[in-house]
Amino acid sequence: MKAWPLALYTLKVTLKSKATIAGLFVSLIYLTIIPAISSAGEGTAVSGNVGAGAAGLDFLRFALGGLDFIGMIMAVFISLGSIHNEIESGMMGVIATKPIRRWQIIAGKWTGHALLMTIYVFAIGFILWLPLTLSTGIHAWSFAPATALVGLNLMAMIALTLALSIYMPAVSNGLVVFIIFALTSSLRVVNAISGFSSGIPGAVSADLFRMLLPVGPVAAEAANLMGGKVDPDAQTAFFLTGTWSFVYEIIYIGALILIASLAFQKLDLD
Amino acid sequence: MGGIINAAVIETKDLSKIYGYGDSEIAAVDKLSLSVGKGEIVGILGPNGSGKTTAMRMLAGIVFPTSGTVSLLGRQPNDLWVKHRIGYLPETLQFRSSIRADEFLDFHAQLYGIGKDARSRRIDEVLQAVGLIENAQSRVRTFSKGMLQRIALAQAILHEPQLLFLDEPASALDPAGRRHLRELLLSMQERGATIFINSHQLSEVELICSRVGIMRRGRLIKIDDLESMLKPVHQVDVKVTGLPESSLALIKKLAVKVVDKGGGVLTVSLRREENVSELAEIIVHSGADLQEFTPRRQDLESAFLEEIEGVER
Repeated sequence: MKAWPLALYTLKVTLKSKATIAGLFVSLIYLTIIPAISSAGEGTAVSGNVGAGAAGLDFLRFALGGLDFIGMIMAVFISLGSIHNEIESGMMGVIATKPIRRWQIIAGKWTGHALLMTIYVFAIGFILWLPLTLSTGIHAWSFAPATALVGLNLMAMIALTLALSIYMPAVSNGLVVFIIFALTSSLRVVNAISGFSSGIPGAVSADLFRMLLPVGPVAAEAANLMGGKVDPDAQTAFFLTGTWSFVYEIIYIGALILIASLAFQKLDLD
Repeated sequence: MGGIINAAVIETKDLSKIYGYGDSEIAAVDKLSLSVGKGEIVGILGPNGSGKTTAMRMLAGIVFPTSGTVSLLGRQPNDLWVKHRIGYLPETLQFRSSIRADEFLDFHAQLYGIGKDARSRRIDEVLQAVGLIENAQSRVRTFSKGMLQRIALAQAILHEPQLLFLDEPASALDPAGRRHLRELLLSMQERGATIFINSHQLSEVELICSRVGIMRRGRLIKIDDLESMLKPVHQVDVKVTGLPESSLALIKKLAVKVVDKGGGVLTVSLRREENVSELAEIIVHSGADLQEFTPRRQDLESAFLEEIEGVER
């Protein structure tokens, strides 16, 4: 399987990239200030010893939201120029003349970035979870599947950015991804779409729109696992609620990698 | 797995690449037909934008032809069996990552499926061959242009390819590096490799290639053996003292052009090959002191310019 050496090489190269270093730096600042901002944001006493189980869960849920956001930005930045920049630098042409199939190049690139972000999200998640568990005795086991959902979101962002990087230079790719992210995550936009017709048709229209990038519903499901309440204003129908949201996200990632592989199959690398 | 089916290692027929649509269509490569045999070193020359690089990219399978066919070792360029047997050095290869030279080569060796032990041995051999063994642990991003060209060449020859595509392989090399490259390529040829080179460095091509092609505006306007390409031109450098005016007049009558470079040195351009001996006779019979008489051979640069200017006209 030639995609694996490419995945490991991508991981190694990305680990040393400026985007990763900057992302880790921001994450470090986030970890430092999270007790203070979560206290201010949620109105629960979480700094130092957390007395109540609910407050501990609130803290982890809040922290997870931040991790999801920082992680998604980092995922976009590390994969922005994955294909386009490498075509321009001549490196993609060199790799493509090696005994590796085109789809394996896409799979290898995605796997390398996904590996990095998986390590990142679980490492930061563990750093958040361990001190709370040790200091309060709260285990919050639901934090693990919730963190996995955040990881899934990061993989979806990588898949979208990677697919767009086949045709778009880094800057336009970043802009397009952030516009899609902002629009599909905005409840105002989603609710406006659902408002065109009432009931199920409206909710389905809103879901279809959110299916362009389903990270919002999956983040909501992660928060839900941690005992959070689903925003009553969020219009959802069938396929972007509960378990279906992350089942759809897995299909979404697979479909994007497939589309990217097909687009890359006959692309001139010049 | 089968072996080589055709005698030709590279075979193209009416290979074309057209960019753009409608009125803005441009044929980067226009009906390129050529055949390269095993063990040949073929050089393609041409001015900027002549289609050399696009042609090479189509041969290497990274650009898809608009029409026409290409076969390498008797198969399609994107056949994995073929990819195991070809090496490709692009015109420019930029390294944006902070990777070490040996890590870079290790990755490429893994893509060729070379086992771990063999990989480490082969990487050392190749780094030695391109003169970068001292820099194995250095970050590629810190390399000079010449070193980048060498490491790029290293990835192309890592698996001892049967067919090597080199796009401007010597453009960033110093004279010692060029000689080193020449020796390396000749040793690969001795082992049976076929080498296809695009170059602007006419003197390099002249020193290494057995056959030379010239491309202009996407078309292969000429391809011939180097010997035939460098046809003798009827030009003679003469160093003579005491040449009488009458003999000089005779020479001027015989020649197309006579350039007096001073100090008794003349460069005489003649109409026909037989005029060379007639020139010698005039000088000898004049009683002048003939010190040098050197018929000149046309170099590749002159041949190239002659072909290109011929097309221009």
